[in-house]
Amino acid sequence: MTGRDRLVVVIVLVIVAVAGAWLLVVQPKRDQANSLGAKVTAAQNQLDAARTQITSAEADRSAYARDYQAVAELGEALPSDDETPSLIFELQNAATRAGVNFRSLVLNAASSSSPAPTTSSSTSSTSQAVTATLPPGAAVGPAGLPTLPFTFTFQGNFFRLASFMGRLERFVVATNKKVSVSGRLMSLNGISLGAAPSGFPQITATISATTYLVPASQGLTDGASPSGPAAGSSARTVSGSPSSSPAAATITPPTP
Amino acid sequence: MRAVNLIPNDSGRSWGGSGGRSGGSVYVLLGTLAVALALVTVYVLTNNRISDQKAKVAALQAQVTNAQLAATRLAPYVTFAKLAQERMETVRGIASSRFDWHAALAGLSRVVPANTSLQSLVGTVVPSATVGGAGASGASGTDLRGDITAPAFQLSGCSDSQDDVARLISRLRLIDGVTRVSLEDSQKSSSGQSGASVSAGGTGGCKAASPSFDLVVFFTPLANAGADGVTSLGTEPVSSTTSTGGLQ
Repeated sequence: MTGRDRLVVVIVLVIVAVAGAWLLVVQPKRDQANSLGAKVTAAQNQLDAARTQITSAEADRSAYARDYQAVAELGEALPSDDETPSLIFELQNAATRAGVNFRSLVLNAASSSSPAPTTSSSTSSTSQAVTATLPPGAAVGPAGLPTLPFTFTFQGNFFRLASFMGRLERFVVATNKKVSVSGRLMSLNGISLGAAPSGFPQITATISATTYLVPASQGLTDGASPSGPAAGSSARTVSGSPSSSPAAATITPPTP
Repeated sequence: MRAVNLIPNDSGRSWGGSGGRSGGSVYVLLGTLAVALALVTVYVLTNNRISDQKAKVAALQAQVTNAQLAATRLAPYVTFAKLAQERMETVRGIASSRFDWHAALAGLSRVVPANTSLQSLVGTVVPSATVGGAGASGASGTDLRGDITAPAFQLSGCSDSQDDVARLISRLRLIDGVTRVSLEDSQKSSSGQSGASVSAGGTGGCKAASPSFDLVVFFTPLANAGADGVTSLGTEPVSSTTSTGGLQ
């Protein structure tokens, strides 16, 4: 083997050694560094997301008093229970202001609007549990809100009755910016106008209306208090009226 | 003349040029050392980078943990804000999807001519709605009301002449939001009494030779109405009844 050959062999060995050192020692370290770089990026993203979440949550905390006030005010429109006394008071007040005679209020048991029977026993028991927390006569409506159907009867002339219906609708006025609440949220499903027993121009108006309640799983404020929200929101249920309560309530003032 | 090599043999070039007496081994050695130095440098730098990034990851993870704890502490506020927003939207949705009865009745009062009297009015937001014991056919006893799923008034009344009935129909179309006025019947009673729907009240009745009419005034369908109306609220049973007749 000549000196030249030996030199070539040495060079080849050196190249092999360098390549081996690169592949076996340096490259794994570089891979590890790259992997850690990805971890740093992921952690940074996670931190950014958490900080954004905190910023949003801080804004929600700052707005808590306003939100609580809004929810409390909405409680007048969507009570947690049937709150029939306040409904009667609001109707009587509106009727007095409109100059009509509040004749009767009938709570119609919501037999036809009860939740449809389900094939699953567990779902059925859940529905029963939900229904059990509702006031008697209430049923969960399509929008997920419990509803209470009523029939009201009023007497007055046509224009006063029309004004009265406007007052009922203005219990809750919704605009793009805000919702103003001064009474119970109700939908008037139908009206029937006919001559009153005393004759024209007195008219008897029968109004079929539906009022709404907050979901039983939430309660009025979902357990929150003016000082702060409940720790586990939406985890509690609001118990309804005793099951021994009558299924339908009727008040009818005596005919003058 | 014979050429003579003046350069000594041990100073002559070997293979590859300037290898000198070592035959180029020194260059190979130097190159190897340089490459080894570069490898070590890269290794050390990479190790330093790994250490830095490990520290950075640990610090970031600690910060993430703290931030998540803070977010968890604030989560009830987020939940409550969401609840408030959802409830507001729910109320707004229901309130804004209601039929404006007051405006419709006010519009009706403006267009009914003086020589026309209404004896009964039944308004429903959906055909399946019932009120006062009367459903879609409550006022007139027919099913015209059920043909269109929209709020509607079913009117029964009297007018002085058939021309006045036609005039009433034209004027009813002027009410804001009215899409169609469908006349079901307009007939004079030979005995001077009105049709069945009016006499059902017991107190009403048209003058002799005055036609009684039954018609349905359809309004614009509600925006969020589903198959059963806005919130299927009109299907609730109503237990009371109302007599008709004598309504101007």
